[in-house]
Parts: sequence; C-alpha cells; structure tokens
Amino acid sequence: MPDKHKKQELYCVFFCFVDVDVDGRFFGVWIDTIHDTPTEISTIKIKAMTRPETSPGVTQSVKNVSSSKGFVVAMVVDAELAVAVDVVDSRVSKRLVVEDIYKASLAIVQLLSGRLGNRRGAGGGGHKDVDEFGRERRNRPHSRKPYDRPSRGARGGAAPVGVGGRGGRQDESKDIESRLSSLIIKVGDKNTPTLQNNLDALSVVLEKDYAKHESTVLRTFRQCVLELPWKVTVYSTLAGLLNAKNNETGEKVVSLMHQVLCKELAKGNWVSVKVLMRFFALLVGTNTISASTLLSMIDVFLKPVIIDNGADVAISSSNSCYMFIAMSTLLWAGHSLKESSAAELGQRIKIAEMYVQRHAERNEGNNLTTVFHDALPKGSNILAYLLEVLCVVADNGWKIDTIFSPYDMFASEFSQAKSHELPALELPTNIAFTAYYTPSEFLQLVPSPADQIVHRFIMQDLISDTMAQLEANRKDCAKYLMQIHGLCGEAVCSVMTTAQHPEDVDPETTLVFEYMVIEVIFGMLLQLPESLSREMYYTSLAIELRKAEPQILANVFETVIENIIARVQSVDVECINRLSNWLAIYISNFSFQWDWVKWESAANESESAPKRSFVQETLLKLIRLSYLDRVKSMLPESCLSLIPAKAPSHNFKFTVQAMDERTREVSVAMGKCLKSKGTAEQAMAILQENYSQWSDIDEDTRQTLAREMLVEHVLLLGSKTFSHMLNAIEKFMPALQRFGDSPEAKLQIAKITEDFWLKNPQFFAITIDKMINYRVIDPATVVELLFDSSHVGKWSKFHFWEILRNTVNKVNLRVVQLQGRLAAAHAAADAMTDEADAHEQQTAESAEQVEATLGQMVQEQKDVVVSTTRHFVQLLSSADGSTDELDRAWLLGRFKEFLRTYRAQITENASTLENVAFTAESSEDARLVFSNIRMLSI
Amino acid sequence: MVSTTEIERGLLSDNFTIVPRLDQPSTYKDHQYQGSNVQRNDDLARTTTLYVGNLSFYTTEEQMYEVFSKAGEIKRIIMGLSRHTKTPCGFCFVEYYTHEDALNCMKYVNGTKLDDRIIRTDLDPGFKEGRQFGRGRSGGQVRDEYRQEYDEGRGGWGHMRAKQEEERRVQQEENYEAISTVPAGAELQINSRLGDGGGYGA
Repeated sequence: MPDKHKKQELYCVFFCFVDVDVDGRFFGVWIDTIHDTPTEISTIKIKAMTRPETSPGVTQSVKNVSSSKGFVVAMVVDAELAVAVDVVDSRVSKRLVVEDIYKASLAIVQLLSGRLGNRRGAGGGGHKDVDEFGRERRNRPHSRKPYDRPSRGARGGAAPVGVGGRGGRQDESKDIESRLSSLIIKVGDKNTPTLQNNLDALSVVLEKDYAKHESTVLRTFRQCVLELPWKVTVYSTLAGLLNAKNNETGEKVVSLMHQVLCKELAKGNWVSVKVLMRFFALLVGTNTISASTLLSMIDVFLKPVIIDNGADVAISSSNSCYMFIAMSTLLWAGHSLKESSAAELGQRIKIAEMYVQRHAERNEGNNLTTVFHDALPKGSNILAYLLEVLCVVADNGWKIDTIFSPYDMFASEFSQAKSHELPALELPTNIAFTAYYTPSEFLQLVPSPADQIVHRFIMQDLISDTMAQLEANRKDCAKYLMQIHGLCGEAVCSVMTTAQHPEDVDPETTLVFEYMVIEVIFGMLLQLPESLSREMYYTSLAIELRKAEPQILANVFETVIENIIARVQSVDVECINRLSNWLAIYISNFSFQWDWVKWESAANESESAPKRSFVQETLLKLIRLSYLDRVKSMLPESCLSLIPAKAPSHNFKFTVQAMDERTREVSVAMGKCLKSKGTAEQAMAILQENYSQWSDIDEDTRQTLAREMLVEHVLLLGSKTFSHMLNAIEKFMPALQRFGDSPEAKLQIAKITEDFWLKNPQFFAITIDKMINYRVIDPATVVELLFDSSHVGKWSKFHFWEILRNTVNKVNLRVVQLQGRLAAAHAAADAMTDEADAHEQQTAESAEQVEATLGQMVQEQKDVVVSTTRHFVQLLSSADGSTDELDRAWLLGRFKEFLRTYRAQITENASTLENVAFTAESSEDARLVFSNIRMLSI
Repeated sequence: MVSTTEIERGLLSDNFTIVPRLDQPSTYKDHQYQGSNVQRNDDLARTTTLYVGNLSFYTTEEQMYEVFSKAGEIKRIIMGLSRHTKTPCGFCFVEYYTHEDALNCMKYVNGTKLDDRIIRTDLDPGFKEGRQFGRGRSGGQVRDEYRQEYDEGRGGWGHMRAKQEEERRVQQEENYEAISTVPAGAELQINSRLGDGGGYGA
C-alpha cells in the first residue's frame, strides 16, 4: 500500500467531469479514479462517475451527465501539482473549453495539495494539527479558528471542490486568482519530465486569462522572480512563452519587471538588482528583449568603472559592486550573446579582467576582509573567483548546465517571438560608500572537487541570493533552500538528505548540496566588513535548517564548525567572535548537546590561545543563556577548568569584615536608606553629613570616598535583575550625575562598576550601557575604561569589545536619529512658511536646537573614534601594551575590527587621525591596517 | 514602449509577497485593549514592544536580555508576575528603542528556544501599568489555569490540577490516620501448610 501511494504522489491521472451550469458557466469539477500511469490518456472513453470518493453527493449530479453541458477531461498531475490536461470527451472541441479546463485544473490542484499534504503526514495517517509548540491541538469548538469552519456552501456535502457555490461570482474570481498564483509559484519546483508540458499549459492558461486577472498575474510573477531566484530559468521561460503567445502580454511583463528593477536600483537593494539582471539576461535567450537592450543595461553598470576612454578602470567600493552585478549578468547572458554579439561580449569580459587585475594590485596583501588568513587571498572579494568561473564557462561555449533550462525546448516558439526594447537604467547617486555590497569569496570549509568550480559557484550564488531575498521568513527560507537542488541535474551534486546512503557521499569527489548550503550560511555570517543581515538571522536560519533535517544537518554543522576551529589561529578575530555567538545560540536550541570532548585539549592551552578563548567564550555565552549548573552538567571533567567554579555574582565592597568603623557607619546608614526606599536627596544628605566630619582627609579624597559609597550601594540595590538595575540608576540618577561631575569622576564610577561586576561580565556590560543612556557616564569614559592598563593581558576577553561596540553604535545611532529629526524639523519649517508667525518661529527654534545637539553629538562621535584609535595605536606600538604575542594578536584583530566596522567615521576623520593617533613611533602593522582601511573606503 | 498604467503604478507600490513575512502581527490580542481596531493596527505598525510568551517561570531577565539583544538594543524588560505571589508567571514584555528592532525580533528570535522552551513573541500595542500581572484566577496566566500536562518549567500541572491535587492532599490528611507502631507482620510458619521454607515470600 505505501508503495502505491508513493507512486501516486509522484504521478497521477485524474478523470474529471467538469460541470457547467445551465447558463454554461463553470460550476465545479468531480473527480473519479486515480490511475498510476499517464499512458492511457488517449484510449480513455467517457466514464460515468460511479466512484465519487471525494464528494458524497456527486452521484446524483452525475446521473445528469448526458443532459448537462459538462464534459470529461483527463488530467495528469505530477508531484509538484502541475497539471497537464487533455479533453477526452469527443463532444466538445478542445479550443472551446480551455478556460473551463484550467479552472478545473486549479480546483484539482487545491484538492490535491490538501490530499498530498495528508498523505505526507506521519505514518500515512491523517494530517497532524499541531500548535506553534509542536503539541497536538485539542479538538474543541472554541479552539477552532474562523477560517477552518466549514463554509455554508459545503452543507450537504454536495458542493463541488473549490468553488463556494453558485452565484458567488466574486468569491469565484478571488478563488481563481489565488489558485492562479499558486500555479505560478509552484511551477518548476522540481525538474520533472512534465516541466515542459506544465510550462506550456500554464502559459496557455495565463495568456487566456491575463486580461481578466492582470494584476494578480503580474504581482505574482514579480514576486516569483524576486523571491524564488533559483527558479530564474523557469520564470524567464514562462515570460518568453507568454511573449511568444501574445506580444502585448509579454511587453507588460517585461515593462513591469524593468520598473521593479529601477526601483530596487534606486533603493540600493543590490541583491535584488542582481537577481533581476539575471532574469533579464535569460530573457534575451527567449527573444523577449533584444541583445542590444541587455548590453546597454549592462553598460550602465560599467560606465562609472571605465576611465581614460577605456584605457583604465577606477577601483572603488561602488564600482566593485557594479562589476559584480555586470559580471554575474554576463555569466548568464553569454549563451545568447555569443553569436549575435560576440565582439561586445568580449569587450565586457576584457573590462572585467582589467578590473580584477587592478583590484588585486591595489589590494595586494590586504587581508582586511578575508576570513581566513592562512589561505592566499585572491582579493578581498568575490570578483576574482567570478572571473575564473566566467572564463571556464566561456571556454565551454557559454553553456551552463548546472540547472535545468527549459528554454531549449521551446526554441521554435521563441524564434517567432518579437523582442522588446527597454528604457535606460539610472544608477543611484546618493548612496554612502558603506552601503554598496560586494560579497566576499564563498568560503571553502569542506574540501570539494576542484574541477567543479562552475557548478559550485552557480549553486552557491543561487543559494546565497535565496538566503538574502527570503530574510523576512527564515522558516520558509529553510524550506526552499532544501529544494534548490530540485532543478539541477543528478550529475551536478549529491544530496545527502535524499540519498539512500548519505554516509557514503564523499565531498572530495562530488559536490554535496548540504555542504554548499551550510558553507553559504557561514560565508554570509562571517562576511566582512559586515554581514548583509543581522547575525541572528543566520543563527535562526541554521536552527530551522537543522530542525528540518535533524540527523544529516546536525552532522554537517558539526563538521563545518570543527573545520573552521581547526584553523582558528588564522581566522579573523571578529569572525571568531561572531562564530562563538552563533554557536552558543545554536547549541542552546538543541538541548545544549555538543561534543566538547573533541575540544578538551583547549583547556590545557595558554590563557589567550585562540582555540581556548573561543571555547571558553562560547561556554560563558552558554552560561548567560542558561545557568552555570546546566552548563557544568553537560561538560566533561576535562573542560571544567574553562568555566568559573561559582555562579556569576557581584563583588560588593562594603562587607562587614573589610572596613573601618566609621566607613561601616556610613555604609549601614546608606544601606538602610536605600532599602527603605530613600530618595537620591536623602542619600546625598547622609553622605554629606558623614563625610564632612572626616577632617583628617582633604575634600577631594572625601568626594572620592563618598562617590564610591554611593555607587557601590546603588549597584547593590540594582544587583538583583536587569530591571532592578534600571530602576536603581533611574532613581539615583541625580545623585550619580552630581558625583560624576568630571571625566575623572566618571571614570571612577565606571571602574567601581567594573570591580563590582568583576565576576559577571554580562551585568558589567549592561550596567555600563545603561549608565551611558542615563548620562551618568559618557562614551569617552567607556573608552578610557576599556583601555585601562589593568586590562593588558586580557585582550582576548570578548566582553570588553562587546562594550566598545555597543557604545560606538549608540553614538552613531544618536547621530543618525538627530539627522533624521533635523530633516523632519526643516521639512516642517518649510511647510509652515505660510502659516502663523508664532508657529513658524517655534519650529525654527526647534530646528536650531536639534542642530546644536547634533553638532555636539557629531563632536562626541569624532572624539570617541579618535581616542579609541589613539589608544589602540599606543598599545600596539608599546611593549607594555600587551603581555605576549597572543595577547597582541587579539588586540590587533580588534583594532582591525574597529577600523573596519566604523570605516565611515574613520574616513570622515582621516586627517585628524593621521595627525593625532599616529606618530613616528607607531607600529608598522597598526599603520598598515589604517592604510588598508583607506583602500577599502573609496 | 508603454507608458505606466494605473495597474503598474499599483503594482510598484504594493507590499505583496508570496512568502509571508514573519514580522506581521499574528492573531495574538490583548483582550483588555481599549482602543478601536483601526487604532490598534496603527499602534502595532509603530510599536517597539513585544509580548513574549511560553517562558519558563525560572527564566531570568538576564537570560532574556542575552537573546533579545541579538535583535537590537533593549530599552526595558517587564516581567509578567503572578498577581498574588508577585513571582514570574511565564510571560513578559520586551521594549526596544526602535520599531525596526521589534520587527527583527519577530523575524529572528520568535520561535527559537530559551531555557529549552520555544518562546513566542508578538507585536504588542504597548505596555500599560497593570498588564504585568497575570489575569488568571490563581494570579498567573489564564492559559496555565486549564493546562493538563505536566510542565516543569511552568509549575507542575496548571492551577486547576494543582488545586485538585491540593484538595486531595488535604482530604487525605483529614481522613487518614497514621499509625504510630509499625506491625511486625505474621510469621510465615504459622499459616503455612507447606512447611518451613516453602511458603510465599520466604
């Protein structure tokens, strides 16, 4: 039985009676038997509907077959629910019923998607209704959602599949539209023998109904191209077929996609631009747009690159981004350009070669954006790799056989089509250099066969585009990612999740799909200078992927992580940090299971050794995510020395034993006051009253002691939870601010905070963060604190740099917000010019205020950047700046990270930095990082 | 070349996606929300606050901070407390500084695990004083009242069941009289017809 089901799932034939009501309008479809093979289509005779297995009331209606205007069709439905239809009723001509047939096919698809879904459920049984926590939903009337109540039309069980009932024309139209979209979305999910037929049938259906449902068709088509980038060959073929069948429809599709491209280009959505350009590249092959149109589109991207009348190229971050888009388009366009425009194609490849060469010359030895420093960098981005692929493909006659390209099958149809011209594209002008995106080279984390470079590039390119485009839904993204191999031939890559013996798949002899996906995830996570989306996206996407394929992907992730960590001493410091954050969340999502024994040797390494730091910091993160005993219980004894023996706690200074009598008196008074909800004024009064009597010390010392007393007690008051801490700082903010009246005072407050939370780095970071928000301390204070000489030898600790990043991000965010507010104030002022004077003045004033605040913030931003850089350079240039080589390597790595992340601010203040931060004694490598950053920031 | 039609203009500005976005409001609703539906949608379109559910009672604010700060800087966390005991009862509100970060959280954090539990987040129109307290009769969340299954992270079996268990215990305590001397039990030989060593339980 199960076998039979499986077969049907893949391929079935339905005999259906398409019912038409007395006015000849489509009413519904009755399904009869399911056959296993499609071969019988031609020999079928009309059958009475005797086994109405889906609709109980069908028999009655079928009795009237002869009197009705309905007719019988055979439908071939494959596993991806694409339908091919054949009319087997001799009474009707095929031409007349196309519309009805497709409506019927839509109805079947809907029915089937439900049924196949059921059959795929556990044990072949019914569909399991589970809630978001994976528990079975209890079947109670109140837990039923409005949308799963039976519709009124279905009462009596005689209603046809899919259609709400007679008379609901509007519902019907909506229904048709939603089914039409689902047909477009699902077509070509797999490379099946029927794909050609499906595409053909779909284009017939779309062409026929385009006028009626124009916006639905166009909207769906637009999103399919954008959101399902790996099916680009399918959608370009579909567009070509539409164009071949009806030139006007084709023009509408092309024109819409062109406008979408303009919009994405203006917004600087580079991945979308690349995806759309790939689509246009393939449209040339289907004769939908002309070769000259495509070439002029590509030339728009090449124009800023070419200088000196083509004798040279200009290297910049925007040009690298444009080159990447242009080269990636050429890769897909080569096949259709090679005959008609061979010379033009060659010219553009020449430009690419020149660009890659110049880029490599300019960035010789610059490993600022390379994740691994042990491998020879081919350049700081993907361009060199892409050029290599381009050359191999060109040598191969521009044939790309990685994914199934159905357009060959429709060559004769395409040859009769009329192609379109498109208006010129315009590049955006107001985009910051940091907002251009050129990915780094795809990471090689598992060995792969060297002769498969083209397949590997194309697969990983499509995978990474899909990841970028489906960022808004990691769950569906994970689902789709695992389907991408569906369109590629068996020879291209092995798929462990569908292989019978996944353990036999060898990545050294064949490309392995799962490894390619995971390599792309880590490639995007570790992308330098920054990843495209937040790090957390790649973490939760990985979690979804592993949830979908628990066994195989768990192993794949483990292998890849181990491969990276085996080379950890040459991994960029920032990437080690990102990977550690990633791993902690990943492990915490899978019951804290990890094979720590493999890394137990790290426990014997020296304190700042890269591997030890990585393992230790990951464990500390895990403790933050759970609690000490949880982590302890899962660790082998050999690794216990990596985590603290006691749970994180505070370090309150004024414990009873360790102080003199009069200090104890103040401390007790303060403690009582704070505990009984005393105010900031009361606390200040106590301090004043007590310390003023200490005549044996000078005023400054008294202030220092009082400050310490206050801060320690406020921190103790807030030590219970994050919210307690917020409350305590908020409440005593006036007192804290009064005591923090100078940079030295602020630094003292920060240092007390560090000592208080010495055994709890997380709370240390949180408290510092919130103290900045409440203006108790300044960003400048944090910089001084972090580079304090007491931290020399501890540069491998992650939390210092977490604090630095948070602080600088905060300052930058404030500048951006103020700029926004200023723009809003100006806009409001402009709009008000005709209004009453009073209003006008008020707005003008507020714009001035904002401007003044912005000025202060920009100065603060500059101060932070300059002083941080100065500290870094001083420490790197001095023998006392670090305890040993390992310690210094961390410091240098963090310096790189800092300059790289804030390269926009570094560039703005470059001349100040040259003068202030760097001196004749500055170390050579610090200087090199700085000049490399300047190369990156053009 | 065609000019832009009305349909095309519409098509360029709509937000239609075929893959549903995860940062859209779900069916979650604060039943005591005072405004109209329009106002609620408006609030949700700008909110920086999330309702977080299915937490363990023992999850700390700092654990939450660690996970939720992956989506953006946190302004505050408001723990959901039992009305009676003022202890955590498995939900909280997390407020960010920007709406975008709240959406990031919906996209990346919602549905991941914290403390071995799959947490659920929902866009919330905004915290109001009083909402931190559970609305169940027991003081905790309503959903815990009716829970039947055992849940270590959320206090046993739910309040109905816990109450029943408590009543049974009280009843048992009242009716059951404990003995003070433990009997030694009958010697085997006395009742055995099978002779020494052959009896039951020998």
